Amino acid sequence: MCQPGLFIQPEWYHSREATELITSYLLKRDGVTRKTFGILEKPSFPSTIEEISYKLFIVGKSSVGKTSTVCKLTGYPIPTLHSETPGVQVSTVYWPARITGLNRIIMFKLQLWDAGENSLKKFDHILNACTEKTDGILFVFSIVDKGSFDEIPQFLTKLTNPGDNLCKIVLGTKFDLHAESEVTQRNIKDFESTWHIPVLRIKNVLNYNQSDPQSDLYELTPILTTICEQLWHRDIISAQNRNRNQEKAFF
Amino acid sequence: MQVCFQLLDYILERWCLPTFSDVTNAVDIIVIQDITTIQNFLEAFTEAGDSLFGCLLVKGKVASATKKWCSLSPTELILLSLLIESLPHCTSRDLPVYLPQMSPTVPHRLLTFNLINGVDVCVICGPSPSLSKLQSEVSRFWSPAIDNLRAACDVHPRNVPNNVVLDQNILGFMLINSESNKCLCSVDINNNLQERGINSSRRREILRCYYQKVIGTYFSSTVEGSEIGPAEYSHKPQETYVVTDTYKIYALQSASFQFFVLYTTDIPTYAMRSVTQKSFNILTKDKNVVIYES
Repeated sequence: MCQPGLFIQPEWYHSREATELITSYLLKRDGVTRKTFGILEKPSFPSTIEEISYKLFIVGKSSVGKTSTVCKLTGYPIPTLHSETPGVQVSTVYWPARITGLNRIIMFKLQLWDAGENSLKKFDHILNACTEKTDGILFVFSIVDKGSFDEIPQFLTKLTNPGDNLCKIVLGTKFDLHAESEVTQRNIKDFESTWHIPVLRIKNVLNYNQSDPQSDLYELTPILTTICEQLWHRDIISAQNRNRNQEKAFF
Repeated sequence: MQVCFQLLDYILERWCLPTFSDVTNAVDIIVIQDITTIQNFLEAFTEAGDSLFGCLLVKGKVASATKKWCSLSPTELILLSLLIESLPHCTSRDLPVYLPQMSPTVPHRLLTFNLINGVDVCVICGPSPSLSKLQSEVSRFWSPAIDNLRAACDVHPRNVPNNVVLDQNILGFMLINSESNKCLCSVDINNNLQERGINSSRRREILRCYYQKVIGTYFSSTVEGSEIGPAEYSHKPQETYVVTDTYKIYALQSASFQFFVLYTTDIPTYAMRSVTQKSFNILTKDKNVVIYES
């Protein structure tokens, strides 16, 4: 787990450059709704901004809100009723970040692989498709379901190995229902210190504050930024490992 | 079963369905220009997916499909189109599907890719290729077609290209081919009528209700085993119409076609017959309208 702000400048998002970049390339003309992109489309940002693509596999107990989280992150409408996801759905989200060390803006292209719990169990090819060449895993739990939180260590041991250097992030959903919360702050703190994995929080509800055009993105900024930073951190570690191995081979 | 809930909800909330396939038992199509170009792109891409079943959907309506895809039963065609529309938006997906007639016990893989907003390409595959492998091929196969795809998307919601001009009094129509099980419907055919009187969803409702009234009473049904009503008459009605305070509606059948046209009250009742026949000829003779191909 890296310290927030180590690789990505969080204050950059308040700058004019960031606001302009986000409004002109990622928002529709009304300045509120997010643009979505088909495979043949992408934000028409200047070629000086490098685009790096990452694959994230989203796991978690059934009905914790994996699909809603994906919709929230990508800007698609959030489903109003819960329904089991058939098979696997891939969604794309673009997010810019200013990298501290390079002093350059990088466009992160995150591909979120969201699979239904039953499909994963029933069809091997779906689990394989999700885990194949993935850069990271996003573990999702619901704050109103203690069981989903307790299951995360099982997912961790099942899907990751100590040496695989996968980017691991935990995301708690339904933080709008804190009155019915079954998972305490203490639980989350303990988890973070045991596993060294950051725990993020999200509310998958429509924004009530429609008058403030950027409020939706403000809410998402810390989440997307942390995800990007963890992925970047993982890339640096794997690059270092590669260098070390090369050095070893050289001697 | 649980994975079908979204599809079932979608069908049950049918008063707001933008398509007509649930009542006509024929899959909704959209007519695009340059159909042969798009068809070639689709066939090449389907082949890349080691498959013969490929289809291009524009806003949930079939714009182009391979021969094999068209050979699926009407129920399968309709369910596949509705299924894809009922699911949440995403870039691509890989979902197991059981086809009621072709393969009720062995699941196939339905892969869909969102090319541009509103346009999806679907392929039914066997065990290979993997989703990520075929997705990496999408740009290579479809990038040259991006302008054609954008043009195709612009046809929605009219559903027929702008160069097909129909009478100014037409609010909407349904053209059903019971042989190929395709239907072409539009409730946004004349832009100048947008503000006047009846809005699109009401037009859709009128057409749906009238269709349900006429089929089984005057015209025979296309669904097998439900040929009730008209068989009792000694003659076979070919045309029928209704005139109300707010709209006029005319229906005719010719060979395997059934054609329903919704008019404003401005059209003289005596002109409805000839205008309907003229519109019918325009739509069925257009070379881009592939409704007559089975």
